[in-house]
Amino acid sequence: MPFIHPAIFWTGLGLVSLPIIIHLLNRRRFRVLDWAAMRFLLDSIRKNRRRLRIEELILLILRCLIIFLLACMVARFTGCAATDILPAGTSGSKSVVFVLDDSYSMGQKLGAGTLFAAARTDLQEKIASVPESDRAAILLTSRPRRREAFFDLNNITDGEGLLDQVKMLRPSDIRTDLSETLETAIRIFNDVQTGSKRLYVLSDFRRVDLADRQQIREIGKKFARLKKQGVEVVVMDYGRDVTNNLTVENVRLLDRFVVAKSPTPARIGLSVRNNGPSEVQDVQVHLEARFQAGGRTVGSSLGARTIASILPGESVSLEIPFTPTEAGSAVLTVKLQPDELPGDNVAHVAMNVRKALKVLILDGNRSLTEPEESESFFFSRAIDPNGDGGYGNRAEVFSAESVDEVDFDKYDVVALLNVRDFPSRRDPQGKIVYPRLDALERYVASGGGLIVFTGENANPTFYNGPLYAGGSGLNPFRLGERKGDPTQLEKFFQLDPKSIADVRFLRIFAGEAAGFTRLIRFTAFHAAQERAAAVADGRAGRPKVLARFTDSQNSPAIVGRQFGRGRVLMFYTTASKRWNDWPIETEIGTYVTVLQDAMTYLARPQIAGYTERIGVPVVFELGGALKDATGALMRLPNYPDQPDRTPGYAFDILAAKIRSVADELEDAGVAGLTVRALRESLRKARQKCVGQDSTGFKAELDKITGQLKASESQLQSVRDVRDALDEKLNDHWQGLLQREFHVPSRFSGVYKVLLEIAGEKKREILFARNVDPVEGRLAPAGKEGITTALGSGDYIYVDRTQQQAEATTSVRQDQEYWVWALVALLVLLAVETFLGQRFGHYS
Amino acid sequence: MAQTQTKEELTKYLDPKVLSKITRLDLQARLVVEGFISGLHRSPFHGFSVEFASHREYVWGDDIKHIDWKVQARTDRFYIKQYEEETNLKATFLLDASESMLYGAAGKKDGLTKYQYAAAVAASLGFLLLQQQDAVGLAVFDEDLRTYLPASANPNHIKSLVHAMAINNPKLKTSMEGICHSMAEKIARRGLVCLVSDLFCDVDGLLRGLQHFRHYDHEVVVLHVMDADELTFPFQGNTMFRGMEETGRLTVEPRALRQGYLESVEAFCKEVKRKCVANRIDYKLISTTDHLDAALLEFLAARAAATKKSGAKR
Repeated sequence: MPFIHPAIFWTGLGLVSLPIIIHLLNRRRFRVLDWAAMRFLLDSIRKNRRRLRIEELILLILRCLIIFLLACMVARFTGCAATDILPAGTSGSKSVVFVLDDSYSMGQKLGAGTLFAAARTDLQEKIASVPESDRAAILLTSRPRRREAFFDLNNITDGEGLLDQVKMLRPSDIRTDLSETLETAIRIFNDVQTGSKRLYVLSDFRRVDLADRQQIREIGKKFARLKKQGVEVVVMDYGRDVTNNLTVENVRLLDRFVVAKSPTPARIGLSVRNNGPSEVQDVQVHLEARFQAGGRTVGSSLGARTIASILPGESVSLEIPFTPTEAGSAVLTVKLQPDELPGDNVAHVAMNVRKALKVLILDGNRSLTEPEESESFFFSRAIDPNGDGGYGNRAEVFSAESVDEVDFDKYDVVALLNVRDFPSRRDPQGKIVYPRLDALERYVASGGGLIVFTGENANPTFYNGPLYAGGSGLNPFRLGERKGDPTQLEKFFQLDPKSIADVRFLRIFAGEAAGFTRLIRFTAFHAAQERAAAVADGRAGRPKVLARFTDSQNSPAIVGRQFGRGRVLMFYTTASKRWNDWPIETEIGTYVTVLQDAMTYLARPQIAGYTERIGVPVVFELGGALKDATGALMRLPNYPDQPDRTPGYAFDILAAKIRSVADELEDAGVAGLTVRALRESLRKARQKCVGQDSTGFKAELDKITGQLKASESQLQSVRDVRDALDEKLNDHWQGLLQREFHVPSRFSGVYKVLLEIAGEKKREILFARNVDPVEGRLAPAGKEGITTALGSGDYIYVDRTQQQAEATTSVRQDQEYWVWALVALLVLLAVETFLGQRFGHYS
Repeated sequence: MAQTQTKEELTKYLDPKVLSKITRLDLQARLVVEGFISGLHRSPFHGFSVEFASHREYVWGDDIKHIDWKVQARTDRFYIKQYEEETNLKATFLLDASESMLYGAAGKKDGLTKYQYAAAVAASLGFLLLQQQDAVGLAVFDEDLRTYLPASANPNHIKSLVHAMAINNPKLKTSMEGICHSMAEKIARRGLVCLVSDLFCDVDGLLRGLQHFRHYDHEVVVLHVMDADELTFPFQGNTMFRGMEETGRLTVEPRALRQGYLESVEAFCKEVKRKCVANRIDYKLISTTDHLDAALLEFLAARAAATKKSGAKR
């Protein structure tokens, strides 16, 4: 509202009806006069009826206008678009909020500078013109929350200092959300009780940002609330059409993991999109890699690929092979030729290169004296022929009895070969439990791979009991009776070639090679009870039969199942030559091929989080093998502009979440007492944590858990945080004191964790964060698009797309027009008096 | 000085405001006439006849041609001769007593209603005429003839006239044409007919009635009496006008209608005057705030014309 006192204006607007009310009241009040000369009166009315009505209407309008102008004057009208041509006086105190869009699309080139630089210059001019009596706030769309405000609402006492800070601003690498920043602006204006309010939004207003209906609805709601608050909104539009812009739309690791020196190179998927208006030919895609070599991290160019042509709006995909020579962290960087928006021409993919897949083999028939009789003899040689991991797999064989001694989490795949069962014990309630089986289930659920071969040792009670677990265990089907006799070699079964599923590790039997199944003879197998399969529960996926035997029931030979994030493969025969001659089939060597591929199929994938979009925090825990690190730093992409980070306590992550919840509770209007108590408990918990007071620390965390529980009905996020806290407390709350990195990613590029480990050279662990490619779509929304998004045209639009200095660079200053309102009021009064007399209403 | 004071005392009774405080109509008439005569500075109404009546001492203002030089020679004092004047005029007053003539008293401290003003005018003129031995008659009417007193030159006739005017209370509508026709037939000898009315009636009908008098060779004088409010329309604020003589009611903002109203009134008066002139009828618009001498002068002018005409005929 262009008024310093909008309430007075609205009151005055209501009083505009006063002349009408007075008129209506007067109609009820009259004096009575006996009159003789009625004929002349009637004659006068008959002749002047129409004129009288028009005159009365004119006077009524004039009187209403007079009250309206009076209201404008008293409410201190500060102008609108139509009053720009008028000189005006300076208004009283004002509150101005500047919202500067620093999304990376604002980095679009503009002459020697960028759109952001132009917006920043305008912002500096505006700030310089804000008098000390006024209050101002500056919000960046990349930091939308109020506590992150660049400059919160205050009087500008050190203008020069603020301008210097503004001068240092650069576009962020983030795709920003305008509605969140508008919400903060609303909260700031909520604190303003008096004076006029104005909001400047300096942005490029891209069409892609204003295309989503939900987004538009949110922005429209915020705008309506701002107008309700009486805020005058000035939109400064910097959006420009683009002449050429290529964007690395996607770059990712297509494989689940990368193994050093693997005969099969890792595959990197890449797509490039043409966001320009015309076709681009001979697009050079430069590749650079940073990987471990000679025990240290080196950088190297991998040359360039050429894309012949990309049409406007088209995406072209490439697949790039990559074979690192050493284990460790590696990053592949993709670069395009510089264009109008350089921010989206670079992308990275980070990976953790393994030396080899570590396979744990639990042998149910291990024989140290006669190794060939061991169940694992052929299996281990098939996946790791030389025992040195040279074929990408590093097999470690243990007897099934030593299952208690192994740590599953150290391995990528676990193989159970003719294992009888797992040790059990009774828990305090007397119930039989299998701790190692539970550990194995956790291991698979967290992403590990499990391959099981049966045999004569297999104990049906175990396999059909806890391992099957009613259909939701690791074993997909119940084991039936053994079929066939291993001693009668002339009676055998084979794999049904028609039943071979289209999975990568069975590709040796695919298509015309299906005949290779005839090379393998199975003298015995366990008939799986396929019909008894239970319906998959939340963790265990539906079993999938990947191959069948040629027996009369067409019994399943190989069954796969997803279990949590990991996979299970069940072979219903032996891995040795006891029940088949598959390991000694040398004509083609299908056994080796299938098992090698099966390891790749099963192996634990690279953990998520190495390569993500910007905004996803970089989380790295100094646990496991890195527990003994003596020093650790995280170097951000824009080092040295941003200093290195040291690992913080995991508690900090939770504390940040708890603070965020407290903010949300406060915003949701939950009683201040609850929020204050929560913040106080958090402060005490931090003190205890720093003071290494474990008991006191736990007590405070318990208190916080209770406070969160009391408030969880208010917000869903409270429950999430409480659950997270509970988990930490219940499982290993001491672990809260572990060291952990949790760095919000605000910059695109490569994040490095530099580790010092005793007896090793410095080790680098690399993470990649890439910009959101959608920002590369630079088509501007224009005034119409902005109006649609705001849901109203009630704002001042300043076209900065042409960047002409004399164009509407300066919006109407903060001025008052009450003098003009007064002049207009006096003129109207004079006109009313004159017309009143002229019309005979005044003597 | 004493003479001047007497003159001022008498002329004040020409003012309707003063006159309204005098309740007796005969007294009003006498005071008006005396005031009127004293204001003329001479006595034009004696000595015009041929039959000697008496002498009286010369006073300032008398025409010296009437001085009896013989008496002056004998007595060395100036006397003028007075003559008995003959009754040569028969005047009949038609006094409108319709409801509309009641307007004017409401809300005024010292105002006269149009009827009171008209009655005062008629009584004064009657008194004047009777003093000059003219015969005076009276007809009071509304939609019907309420009172009719034939013309008489008896000086006491004034009492009958005043009584007739006083007993009539206006409350009905006017119907002048019929009254005029009937009166024209009743007045046998030609003379002077004076209509005192607000003329809120059908003007064409009225004119036809007056033409009837003219047909019998009467001199006709129309004294159009209107209240000052009716001539200026000074009202402000929302007003409900309740029409007299059953003309309905109307709630309006008077200021907005004033101009149109005044235009209508002026047009009406002009039309009446034009038609009267066309019929050789003397017309005089009188406001109730006007001093009564205006009415008397107008009447006397008409009477002089009538006398001259009758003399010429004789």
